[in-house]
Amino acid sequence: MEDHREGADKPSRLQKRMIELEAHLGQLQDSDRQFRVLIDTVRDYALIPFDTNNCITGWNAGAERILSYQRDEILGKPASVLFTPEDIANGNMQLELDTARRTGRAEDERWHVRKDGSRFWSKGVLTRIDDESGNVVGYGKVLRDLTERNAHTRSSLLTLHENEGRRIARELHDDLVQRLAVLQINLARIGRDLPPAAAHVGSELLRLEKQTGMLSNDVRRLSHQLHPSVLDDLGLCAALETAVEEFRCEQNQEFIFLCEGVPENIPPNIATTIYRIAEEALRNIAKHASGPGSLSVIRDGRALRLTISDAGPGFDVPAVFKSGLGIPSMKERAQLVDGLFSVTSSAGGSTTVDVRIPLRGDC
Amino acid sequence: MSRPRVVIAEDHPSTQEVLRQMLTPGYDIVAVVGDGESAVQAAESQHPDILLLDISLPFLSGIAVARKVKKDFPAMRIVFVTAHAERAYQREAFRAGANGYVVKRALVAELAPSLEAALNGQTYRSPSVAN
Repeated sequence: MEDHREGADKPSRLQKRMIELEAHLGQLQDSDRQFRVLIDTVRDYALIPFDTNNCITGWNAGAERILSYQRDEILGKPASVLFTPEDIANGNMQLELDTARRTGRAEDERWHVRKDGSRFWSKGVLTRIDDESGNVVGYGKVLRDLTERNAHTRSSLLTLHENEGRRIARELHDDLVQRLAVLQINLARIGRDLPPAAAHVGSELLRLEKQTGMLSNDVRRLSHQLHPSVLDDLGLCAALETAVEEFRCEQNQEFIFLCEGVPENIPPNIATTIYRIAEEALRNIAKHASGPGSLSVIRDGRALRLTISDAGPGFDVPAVFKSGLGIPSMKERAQLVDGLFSVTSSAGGSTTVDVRIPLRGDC
Repeated sequence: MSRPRVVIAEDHPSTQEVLRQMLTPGYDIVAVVGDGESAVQAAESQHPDILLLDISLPFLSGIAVARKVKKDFPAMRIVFVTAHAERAYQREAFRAGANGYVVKRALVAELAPSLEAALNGQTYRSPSVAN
């Protein structure tokens, strides 16, 4: 029997409400799905939730990219695997967790550790996650890898430092050294033209002339340390040759020098990088090695290759990388111009520092 | 015998003055200039017997001046007077065609012998340069 009541085929208010709710739920589910997709796929930030035992419970694409672990291999692992041993030992990791638990959040800039053990500089925030009753159920860490930005900042600072050094070195050489030279010349001229009756003044003048010469040498040395003018005036090969000559002279040691195919128009930052690495390597050899060695800089395709070798005795490379400043700073300098740095050494044997820096543009 | 004609290329005023005083008794100073480009122009216009050159000159280095001048005027004598006592500078100066190389602080002892050597077709290397 047909239902002829008005609106019988129309949905009831309840049904309408149900349809609205279903649509709303669908929208919410879509929105939640989109949010999850966003979290999972965002690549610039690592979003890492932990439970109250500090075990990792989530891992997005950003975390995978920045920290190198795959989701399956990291879930359930303690968050401490992401921190440096120093930060764990010094209590910095615990301090971050305590601050977040107490205040709701903890901001930080620190080194974190990737799966392969390498470190990166990150900026992050750890947020406490509470349930509806206000109980702590875990934490969420959001972090960003700032290594690139940091490298850019360090590179800019290094350039600034070198440019300032160059400016002061020029001032010292072009003004102070010149004035001291004139003083020395005038003292020598007065001494030369002294009448015989004033001969007793001569020895005093000679002493003053020598003192002026020593002062002039000190200023020239300082100027050279700040920035070797020979690098700008005569180029990389002449600057390195001068450094090797000084090394031979000071150490009274055989040292082979070779410079081959180096273009004249290499960018100043690359020339300075190679010079500073060579200078540091020669300083290390003077301190720790003995016997003959060699320094070569040659063009190798689209790159410049600097190789410095000594006759030993060698050292434990990983230990020196951790404890010394010299070798890590050489590596950092090379990396700031996209170079590759390696050092090979064996206890009691020889040591070789090898640097390869790409050339761009018209070089 | 006429006095040798000299151009001084030196940017530091007090060194210019010292050179002027030391050279005046025996040489005709035909020009004193303070930068590399002016040094080339003075060499071209004055044809001196000797061009006294500093290395660190504005606009064009003394080494670049020497290369250019020696190319156009191979007979012109060039004596560097510089504060640079490193061998690399002296080596580069002779590669560029120098006839003499004097370190400023030893000017009183070395200027006269370096000019005489240059005028006699010989070369003069400063004993003050590290060997």
